[in-house]
Amino acid sequence: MVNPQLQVDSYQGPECPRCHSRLTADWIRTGIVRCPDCNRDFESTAFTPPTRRLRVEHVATGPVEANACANHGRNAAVTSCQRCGLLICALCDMNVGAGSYCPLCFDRVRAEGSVPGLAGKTRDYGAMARVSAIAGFLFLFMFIAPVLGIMALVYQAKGRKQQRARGDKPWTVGAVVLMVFAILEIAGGVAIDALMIGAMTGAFK
Amino acid sequence: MSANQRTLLGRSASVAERQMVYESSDGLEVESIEQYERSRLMVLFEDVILVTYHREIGWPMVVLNVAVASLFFLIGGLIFAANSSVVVAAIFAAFGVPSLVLILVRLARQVDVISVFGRRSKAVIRFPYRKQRARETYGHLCARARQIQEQIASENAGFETASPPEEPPAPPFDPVLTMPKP
Repeated sequence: MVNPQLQVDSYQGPECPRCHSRLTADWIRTGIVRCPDCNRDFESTAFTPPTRRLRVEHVATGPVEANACANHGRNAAVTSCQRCGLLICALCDMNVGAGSYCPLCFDRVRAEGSVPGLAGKTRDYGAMARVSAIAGFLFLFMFIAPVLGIMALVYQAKGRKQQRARGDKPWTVGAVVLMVFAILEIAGGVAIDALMIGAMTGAFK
Repeated sequence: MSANQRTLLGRSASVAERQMVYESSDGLEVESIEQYERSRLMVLFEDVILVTYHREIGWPMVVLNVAVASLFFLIGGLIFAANSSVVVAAIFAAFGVPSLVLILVRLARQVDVISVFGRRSKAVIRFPYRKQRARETYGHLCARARQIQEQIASENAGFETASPPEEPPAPPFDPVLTMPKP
């Protein structure tokens, strides 16, 4: 069964940027290319990407007392998986900047989203904060504006944490404007709620 | 990777989703936002096969603005037909003018599109207004991909010269086995 977290749009390789029909090897070249399907031109630069070779030491020829990889018996282990502790060689080492994982644990960690750097899909708290703030403004006279304002601030705090984890700047002009807007919304909402409750109870008479 | 500094290169928006493309040290990070879900994929410079550059009109945006402009002009026309009030009709029609301007600007300048195709993923960046920056970004991405790929090729060449693969020991010569059968 395919894990839905790991499903992505099928990508078939280079395609015409205008009509999206698949380009065969004959059409992958540098210069002005005319698409054989839509007959329109585009400028392109072609590359021949080399396959990165990894230095893999064999147990027999590697360092003295080298341990064997759990998946490749002839290869010397270079590290261990930080999730299951399995000894792994350079071929199995799935290290993308978030620690070394064996291929199986890498798939699981990525599917779970437990390591922020490896999560394929995350919730967009920034968008949720914006929607909460706008909804609070629209429902300013319906008692829930302060709640929605607080929600906007909470979502924004989570969004900032996400941005920091991604390496982005957490404080942008938009973020400051949204925060001020949410605070005003809470204050305004509380004031309007107090006025409405006062008017309904007759406290102002 | 998450701690890497990345710079925003550009955006690409469609009816269903928005994409933001960032440059990091080892490739392009493409963040797609659908409703409240943000998904991320990478196009590594070492995987880049093709980088394309073209100019297009972007018909969805034109059609949307034609619809908006037509709506306001229609309302203005109906008011003029009903009341013969030029001022009120002109006020309503004026709301359609920004859309009309956007359509004309789009038809005149078009959108510059850069597509980066890797082995496993692709990235698309659109530049509706900044043509010079689009051309610079295209050159920059090609240069970065070339640089990384040449670096990997030289590392691979270094492997070959540094440690030649050991030949397995030859089997002992057995004259009986090599003798032709009568």
